[in-house]
Amino acid sequence: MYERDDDLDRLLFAMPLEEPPADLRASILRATIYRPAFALKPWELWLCGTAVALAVWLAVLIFRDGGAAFMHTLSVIGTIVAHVLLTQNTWLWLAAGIGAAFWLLILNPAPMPAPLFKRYARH
Amino acid sequence: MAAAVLDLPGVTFRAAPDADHQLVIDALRGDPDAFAALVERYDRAVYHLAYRTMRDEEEAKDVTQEAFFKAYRSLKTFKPGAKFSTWIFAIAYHACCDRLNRRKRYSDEELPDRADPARGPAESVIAADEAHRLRQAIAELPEKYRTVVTLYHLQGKQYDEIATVLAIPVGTVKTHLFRAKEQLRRMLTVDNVET
Repeated sequence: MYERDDDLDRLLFAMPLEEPPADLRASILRATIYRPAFALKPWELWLCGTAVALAVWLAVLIFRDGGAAFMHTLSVIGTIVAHVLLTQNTWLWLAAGIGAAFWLLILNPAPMPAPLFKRYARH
Repeated sequence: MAAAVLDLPGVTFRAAPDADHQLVIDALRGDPDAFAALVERYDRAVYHLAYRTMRDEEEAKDVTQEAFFKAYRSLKTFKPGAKFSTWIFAIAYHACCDRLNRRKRYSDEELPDRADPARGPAESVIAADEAHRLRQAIAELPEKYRTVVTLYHLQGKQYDEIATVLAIPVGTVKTHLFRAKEQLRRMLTVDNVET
């Protein structure tokens, strides 16, 4: 009876599918659409991670060598910031950047966000 | 586009690719019911494929969950022209391959036949059933033939879809299927003579 290809096909296609566990569908839905959304967005996680890393770094600097390393690092950072702010080129580039941004905004205004546009359109 | 045939015993739906496509679009728009409908359509078929490949209920369940989870997370990458059934079967099949490879790595033996323990008296009575004998015969096939036959069962004579799921040429699918059927025929005939 299995000699003919059609017979075997008929038998194959008539074979019922395996019965899945009763809770399979519920567990899939729990893992996908009903999965609670994570409280933080990825960029917020990065921000938190960076803040924690900075705090740890500062704590190590403060508590090592009785704060000498911390003071040294602070003075180095202060010197660098002061140097950058006192350089004429910094201010020139900053002015050029702000000017360019201002003119780009004037010449090519960004489209209004959709919800805002709808709100205005109603009035 | 013609309606895809997934009209199997125990499955109460006919999967139309257009309907699937609409469900994918709705799910991408944030409609959770649309994805739930996709799960409802394909969970049993995916589980069947996983169970036939893994031959283990627990692992088949895990693979099915994993496949739908991956599909949900990467729904944005689903190509508009593709069929959802082919896509989800491919994800499930890859998950099976990963697990089989892991299983092989941790065990020197060939893949164990965990789903088909030795026949007891009750099993011998059920063995008379045609579908049961066919199931057993499929379970005894080598893995590559077993998967092709299972997908042939799930997707019908759509060789190109089977080839896409398994990432092999259509010619190889046809050869595997021919050999698988030959082996099945031989096993079922021998079984018939014995009973």
